[in-house]
Amino acid sequence: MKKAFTILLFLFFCAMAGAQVRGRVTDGDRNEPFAGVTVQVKGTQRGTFTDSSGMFSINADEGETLTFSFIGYKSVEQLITGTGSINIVLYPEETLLDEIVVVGYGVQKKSDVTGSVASVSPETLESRPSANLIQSLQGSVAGLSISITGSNAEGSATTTRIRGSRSITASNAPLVILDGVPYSGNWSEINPNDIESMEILKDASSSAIYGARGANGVILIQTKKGKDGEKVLVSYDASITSSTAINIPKMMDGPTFGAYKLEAGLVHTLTEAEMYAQNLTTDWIDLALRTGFNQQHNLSMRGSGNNSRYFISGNYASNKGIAKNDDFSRITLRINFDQTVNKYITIGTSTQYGFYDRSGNAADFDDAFTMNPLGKAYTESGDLRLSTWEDASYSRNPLSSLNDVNVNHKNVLVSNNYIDINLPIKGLTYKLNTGYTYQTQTEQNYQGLNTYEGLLSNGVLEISNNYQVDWLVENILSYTRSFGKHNLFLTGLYSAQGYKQESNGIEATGFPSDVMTFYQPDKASFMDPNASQDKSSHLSQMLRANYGYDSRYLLTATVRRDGFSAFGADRKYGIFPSLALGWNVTNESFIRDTQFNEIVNNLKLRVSWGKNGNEAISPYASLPNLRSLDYLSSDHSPLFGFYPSRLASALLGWETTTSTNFGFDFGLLNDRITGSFDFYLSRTFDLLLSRSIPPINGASEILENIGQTKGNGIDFQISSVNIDSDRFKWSTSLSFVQNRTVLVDVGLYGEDGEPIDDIASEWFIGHDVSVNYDYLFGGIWQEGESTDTDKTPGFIEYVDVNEDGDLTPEDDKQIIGRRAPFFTAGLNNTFTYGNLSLSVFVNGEVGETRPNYLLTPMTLSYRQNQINREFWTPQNPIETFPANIPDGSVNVRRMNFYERTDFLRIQDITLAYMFDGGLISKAGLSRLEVYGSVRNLYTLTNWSGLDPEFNATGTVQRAIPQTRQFTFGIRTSF
Amino acid sequence: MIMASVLAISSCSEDFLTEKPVDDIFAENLLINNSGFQNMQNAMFALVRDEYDRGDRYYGGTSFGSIPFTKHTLFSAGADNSWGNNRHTNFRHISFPKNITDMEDVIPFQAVFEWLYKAINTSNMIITRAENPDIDWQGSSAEEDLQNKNTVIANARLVRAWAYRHLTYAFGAVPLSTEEITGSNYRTDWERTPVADIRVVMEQDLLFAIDNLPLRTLNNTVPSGAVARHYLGELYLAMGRPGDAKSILQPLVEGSEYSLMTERFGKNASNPGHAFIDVFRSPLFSDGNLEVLWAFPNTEPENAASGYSPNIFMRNMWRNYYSSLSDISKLSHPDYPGQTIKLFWSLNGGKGAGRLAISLGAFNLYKFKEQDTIDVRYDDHSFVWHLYFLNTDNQVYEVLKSDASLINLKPNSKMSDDTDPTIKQYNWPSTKKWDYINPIFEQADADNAYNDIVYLRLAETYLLYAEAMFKLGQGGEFWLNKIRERALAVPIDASEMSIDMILDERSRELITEEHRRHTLVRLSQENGADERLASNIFKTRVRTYNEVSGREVRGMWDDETPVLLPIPQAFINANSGRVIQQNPGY
Repeated sequence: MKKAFTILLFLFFCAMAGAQVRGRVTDGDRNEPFAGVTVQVKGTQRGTFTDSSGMFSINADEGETLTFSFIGYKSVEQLITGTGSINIVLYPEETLLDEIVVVGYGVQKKSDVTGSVASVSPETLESRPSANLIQSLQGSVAGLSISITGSNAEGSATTTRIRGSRSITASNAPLVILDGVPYSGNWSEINPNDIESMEILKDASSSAIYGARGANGVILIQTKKGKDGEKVLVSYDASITSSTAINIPKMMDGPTFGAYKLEAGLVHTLTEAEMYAQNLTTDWIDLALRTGFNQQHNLSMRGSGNNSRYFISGNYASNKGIAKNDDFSRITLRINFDQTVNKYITIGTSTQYGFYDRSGNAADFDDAFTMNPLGKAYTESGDLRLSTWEDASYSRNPLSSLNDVNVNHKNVLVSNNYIDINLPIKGLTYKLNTGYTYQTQTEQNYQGLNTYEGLLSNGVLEISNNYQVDWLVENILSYTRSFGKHNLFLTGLYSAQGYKQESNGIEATGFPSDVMTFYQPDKASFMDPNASQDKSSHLSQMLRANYGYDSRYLLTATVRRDGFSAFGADRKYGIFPSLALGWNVTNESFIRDTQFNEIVNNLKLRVSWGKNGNEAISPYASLPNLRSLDYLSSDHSPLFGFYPSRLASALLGWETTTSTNFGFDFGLLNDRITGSFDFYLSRTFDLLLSRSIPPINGASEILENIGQTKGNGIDFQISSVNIDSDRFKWSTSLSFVQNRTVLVDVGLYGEDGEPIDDIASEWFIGHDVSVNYDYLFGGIWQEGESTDTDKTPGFIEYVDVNEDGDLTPEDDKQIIGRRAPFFTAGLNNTFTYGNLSLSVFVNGEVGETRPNYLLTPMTLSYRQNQINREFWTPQNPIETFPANIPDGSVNVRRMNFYERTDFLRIQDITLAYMFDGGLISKAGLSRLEVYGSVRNLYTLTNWSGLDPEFNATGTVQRAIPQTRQFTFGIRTSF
Repeated sequence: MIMASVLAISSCSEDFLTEKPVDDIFAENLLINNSGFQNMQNAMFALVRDEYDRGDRYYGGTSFGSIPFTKHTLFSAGADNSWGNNRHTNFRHISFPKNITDMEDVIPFQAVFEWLYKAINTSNMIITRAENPDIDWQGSSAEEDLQNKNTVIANARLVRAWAYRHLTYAFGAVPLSTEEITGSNYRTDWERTPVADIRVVMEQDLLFAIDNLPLRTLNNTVPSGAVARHYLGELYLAMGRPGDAKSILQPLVEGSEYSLMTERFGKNASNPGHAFIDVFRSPLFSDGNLEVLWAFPNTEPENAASGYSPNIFMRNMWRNYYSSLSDISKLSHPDYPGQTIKLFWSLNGGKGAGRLAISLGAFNLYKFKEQDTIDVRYDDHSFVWHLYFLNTDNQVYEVLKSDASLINLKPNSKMSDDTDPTIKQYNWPSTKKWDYINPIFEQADADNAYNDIVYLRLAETYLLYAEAMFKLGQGGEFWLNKIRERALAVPIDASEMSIDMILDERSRELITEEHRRHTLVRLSQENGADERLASNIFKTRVRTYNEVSGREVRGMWDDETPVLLPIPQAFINANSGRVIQQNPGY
């Protein structure tokens, strides 16, 4: 049918052959026929204009060139090669001059944006190659802080915050929107090579369009798409990375451990005595480590034709972490396709299928750091010795998990599809946007008799299967119109969203043999099956109005109403308004027409206010469920039981943040120096807090909306081109984030009704949300100083802060610094000489204090290893560390030692070489670039723990260590 | 189609956001018939059983961190007949009562307080909801319906009285809650109800239980009229009503449903031993045990049909940490490479951690009338006096030191060192009442135990009965001697009867079982006395029989040292609507 049509067309144009060339011009911006375009035969006076349907006809010969031009649009030249109609698409020139920014439910010219929005260019992403997208962003965007909180094969241990944390118990993670649809997967499941652009919506006004979920800021991610007029471009990128462990704290070796254990009056067990006698050490950390190796391959193709645009990519990544058996591999396949069907309808999809393999249980570093160095890893026959020494609780071989038979596979399909309809009223469009994500995950684990757990229970089997469905349907109505100097852009949204997860699994023990691994649940002597479901839904409406006058005065107003199922019956809906104003000062005639313009070529002032919600509670959190607790009959058959343990929270509703943002964007010396600066104030109220209530009520806490925090901060970003000569270019970019959130009210009140501290939760009014609270270290009690039991020589002396001669928690425990940085900053320098470029990225953080748990005096009587250190003795009366009494008695008050985690890190150095186009084109290449990079080359810090960034609470100082990575890669395009 | 579904969604938007969890259970859909009430009752009994589990292991409770400590410890230890033996039991109410006011031990008190109110709320929910007229009691007649209902209520009221018993003895006046609490009527303005007022409620609850539960239920793993009578008898003694105590205990003590076990029986019958220790090896009525009023059924996790299996920590608490003795840790056996400790424990009654030790004074009580060599409660089957191992021929032999047993009653220097609360007397004898060896050899050195276990037995009822009769001027030595008779010890004369004699016998018979602090607090509070007075029974006996806690520096010589436990600060803080007065001395 289509072929027949083409032949007909051909015949038609053949009849016209000779002097007349005909064709049609389309407006690529509006996707409609373009009237009034000048069509000229190059180098002649012959010319014409297109008619109202975009058609033209002109006298021209084969070999001549036609020029199509229109003011404000980019001109196109076309060689006449033969007969046939000529179809031309013209694109507005300003898309090249004025950056387009994705603002959620639409795009805007950057100069029209009123909110605080930071963009990440593909160049930034490319300059810091990493297997995990979020790691590439670290320190590169003002206001976005990313902490690498741990080390693993997939690089997934990260914390992402936009302008710090303001919620105490609810989530502080920003909302991520991938191709218009909320994304809840891991960062490591996104192929970094697929990303075209990222926008960080920081202030309340820009994130308010996401209302209930926008309080922590929003990250918008666009994947690559084909462009109209673009020829097919095939790219192949590959990289390999090798990583090694760095910053490993020095633990005691065998002889030291053994000697200190004896000195403390303890006895060696059989294995300990054997090892000690031979001066041996088992270095468990070394045994659990290996050299990591990652490789990544990416093949993509993009292009356009027949009013369609496409991007197809495939990615394979295989990561071997530095912990033995810590493996991750990823295969993703993406198809992004858009088709303009006619002048009314465009349809498109962006669909990704991903397969993620996390099989294998890594060596246990928590155990490796603390395992007795006088234990033995292997038996004489070379098998793993499961209990490394004689102890019931602290002898599990950290390598035992290497013998687990483990499979962990996840399949994810993300398909986002839309239909765009231009309605008959000019400027009015309707978009139906849908998102559908289906994930399944299967985990199978078997611990046989060659594992610690398996030996205890004659084999341990665990199987779990789960699937998760997320769907979204959005109806978006947009209206864009200019009336003279007035620009109007209206957006309306009605959407529904759902989430469901089902899982089922089996845990079983006691098997006749290990042969059938996890395929033998039917042979278990004990089995514990389980099944569960989670479900939640959202319903939202949103209206947004953008108004601009003469590109000088800008206004954005939004209001969003959100409903969320997990809230109490009476509190499901919340309304979130916002307002923002912008002033392009440099568009004012009194600036534009003066000398001043040569210095300041761009200056925009912005102010915004808005209200956002945080819904981060789990489904059913407001319902009074019963807990399971079973009893037995006298013949030992189970009697299933339930008891009440949670109270209903019928009034549970949104946690709400209002914030006000003041900012400006600037460009100096013809954009030689550009940047933006923002200052904000925020207040979060109705905090979702577990309020402590008297346990008499049958529960000691109830989830309620109580409490307030307030915060303020600044973030700015400055980029400059320092040297721009013929061959050599040096540019610098600095980003800086400083913020602080303090508690105003945590739901406890004094007799006068004023908010008071919640000491039990360590929440203090007027202080940061997360602080250290402890006794102060005052040195060591020396001989002759006291006869008190708790002040024995060699014991820790605590500072009696109020000097009343008595240590009491209320008076003498103190706030010892905050657990969030005061500021973080990133500085990137890029040097280009010809085809060679070097970029050096330095990242730093100041103002955070953390307990270093490795230094806490031990309480377990040398059943665990500890950091190597000097002890107090009567002969060596040091003031830094107490005596060698390993049952905790030297530390009567159980205090921790605190250190600042300030650091300055040469985070990334990348050297890249781009081959000359002329040279490589002979090989059919349009791009060939090779690069090498090193990550975490050097860290300057006083922190003595594992890594200053590994800052979560708990035992994190005994995790997989930080790594130094060397990467080599190539990028090619055909 | 998508459009249509959107329209459909928007037309029923209220419904769209309503949560209907399908994998969870709620009181509204559980407590609709007798089976549902039975389910909640099971959980309520399991909460009671948790007294022997670790204090940090009940669902929803506050964690102690890594301190294995039974809840029972808070009611039993820190009195006259035991001391903390190990740094992990350096809770000041046990090892250093004078310094308890430093409040570094608050978490265990808080956990136990919360646990007891959890049990009270469970019983309150049962009691309140059982009155709903729509409940299907699943009986075949109206009479049977009523009986089912009253049995459920009686069990719940008994458990409620059980919880208030613990609370009033341990903490004194506490808030009295007798109604179901929901998200809309919870309070933050609780007040401390006087103990006398709480006892009125306890009396009514126990009387209802006595009226509605048979003296002997089908099995002793659930409460019975006997349990109710036992606790009501004790309550009447506390209320200064020995006459009522005697009459309420009489049907139980003098009836035929329960009796002391004097002949060998049960699982242990064929092993060397005697009836006294058989009582602990086979605590269930279904095993033929007629003495135990209330026992907790347990089983290994691999035999439990669901995820939760109780971990009994009594053995871990009370059995000494013998594997820490250098003579033991040096042992090896060629057939058990790397597993000598497992072998050692499986030959010696199961693993202990020596958290608590019986005081020397308590051991010396057996020497009364030179009966220590005769009394079966003091012999090799009741206490660990010897430690064993396997020789290379796989023959059991006793591990000796200089030809003597490793175990002895020779005090170590730490006991008299006032600066060091870590006694670590690991060669000290300990009770065999809680012995248990895991059937899986690989777990022979694990802390957990899963045996059926005694909670309340007739011997204690006899001692309450003897106390009531003594207070009525009717002697009571007959019932005390019934216990001594079973132990083969010589009887005592009427002239020798005294409260101290009863307390001595309680210690001899019930060592490590009894809620010893409760007993001493009860007797110290008689006639409205302040339990803190140094001249009271509590402190006098600690000074006399506890060589560690009774030392002068540890506070049992002054009137200020508290005896009641502190009201948890977290509760005081959370009770924002009313100021709660702390117990005196804190």
